[in-house]
Amino acid sequence: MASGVFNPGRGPRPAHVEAEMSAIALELEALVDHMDNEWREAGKISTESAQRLKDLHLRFDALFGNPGQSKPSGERIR
Amino acid sequence: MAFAAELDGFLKQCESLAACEFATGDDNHLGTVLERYLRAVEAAADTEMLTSILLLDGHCLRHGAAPRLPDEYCSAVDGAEIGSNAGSCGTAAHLGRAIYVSDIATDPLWADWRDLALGHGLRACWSTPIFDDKQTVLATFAIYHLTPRSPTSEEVRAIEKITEHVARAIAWSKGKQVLAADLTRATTRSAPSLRLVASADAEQLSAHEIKHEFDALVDAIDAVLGKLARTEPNSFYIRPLQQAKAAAEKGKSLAQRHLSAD
Repeated sequence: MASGVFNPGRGPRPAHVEAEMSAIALELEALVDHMDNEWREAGKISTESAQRLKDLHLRFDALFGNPGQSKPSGERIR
Repeated sequence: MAFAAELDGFLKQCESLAACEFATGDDNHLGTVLERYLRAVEAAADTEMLTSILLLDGHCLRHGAAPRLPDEYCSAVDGAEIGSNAGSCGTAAHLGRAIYVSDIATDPLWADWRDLALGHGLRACWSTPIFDDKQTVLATFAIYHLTPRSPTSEEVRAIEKITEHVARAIAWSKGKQVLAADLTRATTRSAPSLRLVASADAEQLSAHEIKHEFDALVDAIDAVLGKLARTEPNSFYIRPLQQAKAAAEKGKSLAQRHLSAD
């Protein structure tokens, strides 16, 4: 399996990048809808949802390489 | 150990991608999905091996994927009838059980296919049927070796794991009714193992913190979109990036609305 960071404009464009980006977009849409429900029904966002958002950001960074855009691994959201 | 520890991770990554791809509605790329699984399996193998998946169509086996087998061999096998004496895959599909042929040169099951296989240097073929949830044979998964070999117990366990994953991918391509539940499981399994927040730690997160997360994600997506606009304005990634950005901005607006309400 290909690994490493895809750098737009340089090198090959592995098919898995497009698939993974599409997956992230779909999951993010679903997560935002879920958060909307949480806010309306419970008045707060669960830690699980916050973690899913963080995970999606980490997956995005792993794909396109934006070090520093998200918090370092291991740092708690609170 | 014939398979490296990476096999599990590779399979889960393949499954997550497959689930999402089938969820997006493109049913015409089962071959691509299967080939990705096989490349992952070959990459995780500590020994030289070639793999293939043949799909059962009535009483014939059809080419599914075989990333490294010679085209000529794949073409010859495509459409082969299954039976009680039909090589490893044809026999495995017919009998509904694994057929491990350790030496193609001498095994009677390969009588009709021996010259073809040996002509391409193939000496061992371990084939395992892939079943749906009703125990109907869907396909066969085969591992070829260039020297006579029998599988170890670790390899048999790895093969079972591989066929479970491939069975799900094939089932998804055949019907989407089970996809939603499977998709949830697949994405949960593939999530990074490092948990930043303990689920038991049910403290409330502020709208400010959530907004900050969405802000950072929108900025990151914008940075990539900007780079693509300069270097690859027709990139395939622009559409899903824009889709993700729209979702992130919606999340940001939600958080902002709650910030204003606090």
